[in-house]
Amino acid sequence: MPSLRSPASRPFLIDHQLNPAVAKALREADWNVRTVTELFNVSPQQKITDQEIIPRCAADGLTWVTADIRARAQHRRLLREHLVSVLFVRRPPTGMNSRYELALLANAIRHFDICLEQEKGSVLQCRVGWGLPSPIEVLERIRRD
Amino acid sequence: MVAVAAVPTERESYQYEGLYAPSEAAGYLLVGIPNELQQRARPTPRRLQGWIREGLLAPEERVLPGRERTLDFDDLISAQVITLLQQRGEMRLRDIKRAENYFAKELGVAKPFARHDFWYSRSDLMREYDETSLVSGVRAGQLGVKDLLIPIMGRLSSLLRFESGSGRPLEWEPAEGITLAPDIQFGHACLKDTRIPTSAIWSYVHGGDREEFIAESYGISGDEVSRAVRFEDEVRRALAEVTGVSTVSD
Repeated sequence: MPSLRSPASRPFLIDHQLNPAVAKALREADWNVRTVTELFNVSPQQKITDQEIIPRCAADGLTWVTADIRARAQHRRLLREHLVSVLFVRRPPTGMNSRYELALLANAIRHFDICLEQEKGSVLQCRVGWGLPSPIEVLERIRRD
Repeated sequence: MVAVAAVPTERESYQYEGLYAPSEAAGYLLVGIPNELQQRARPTPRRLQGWIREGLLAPEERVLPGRERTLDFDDLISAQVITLLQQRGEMRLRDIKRAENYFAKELGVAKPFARHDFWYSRSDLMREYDETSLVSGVRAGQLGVKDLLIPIMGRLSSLLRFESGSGRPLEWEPAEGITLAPDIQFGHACLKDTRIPTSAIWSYVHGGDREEFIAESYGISGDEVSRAVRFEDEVRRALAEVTGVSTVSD
């Protein structure tokens, strides 16, 4: 059972709106996180489309962490079809440095991990604000069965 | 600056359309369309909302309250076409609308400006009907002799720079090294050939990260970081200029 003291237990995919250096820092602290370039084994100069990400998350059992809430509207059907859990991280309008993002993500992912553990059998789409700490808001809950 | 790449004709519809609030679309258009081509009708957020209300853009969003409306990538291209027609063709909005409605019916697509190439003059918008004729959109299907008309008309694709006859655009390059594609980061501006949003880079740098650190983190050059920040600053400045409100959006 994950706790607030330990790293998240399940694997996460950190999208490119979030700093790969933050993903690396989380990994060094034993978190199971991957970036898009690592997952697809491509260089940063190779583009991966949005529609490639969701099926790949489903295939690899990854939870998608992205900073763009628009993904939800645009990919509603695909997210439901592939049953991928997503954490939407909101970015402050005045900018957010990587250090702050690390603190925000560490806190948010850990809480999200606990939510997913408590709701086993559900796929969750959640949103977290930029405050530290910020509560996890469930936007959609889909039962796997 | 207004460069649009093209996709094969067989690709009839995107599964992923891009998603923009009118203010975001306006920011990209204000920066991406050269100044001299938007003197008559600057694509401000208010004007885009007006075009939606008129049914020129995003007709499916017309009935929604202003704050809930969104534009897709086709609308972004159509808005460029409308801006350019008002500037170059000096066309009236009602004529543009008449032409759009006519071609939408004739071609069976909701947003013909984003799907086909046209010929424009000061008062008309036409497309090739057969080898010898052009058909008028403003005059609802009136045919004209191609050889006589073409010397006095301009080709829309020469302003938009997407390949003639090649179907709909795949991406738009509003500034050097910055592209918008409907299937990358929901259509938002990214560094060219990556899925790294310019707004994310702007956010880190304005949040206090050094540019060198961001470049190293993402595996990109310092020039690319500066380019992304410069572009986002321009978008925000342009929006602030036309709305009188300092706009910072994610």
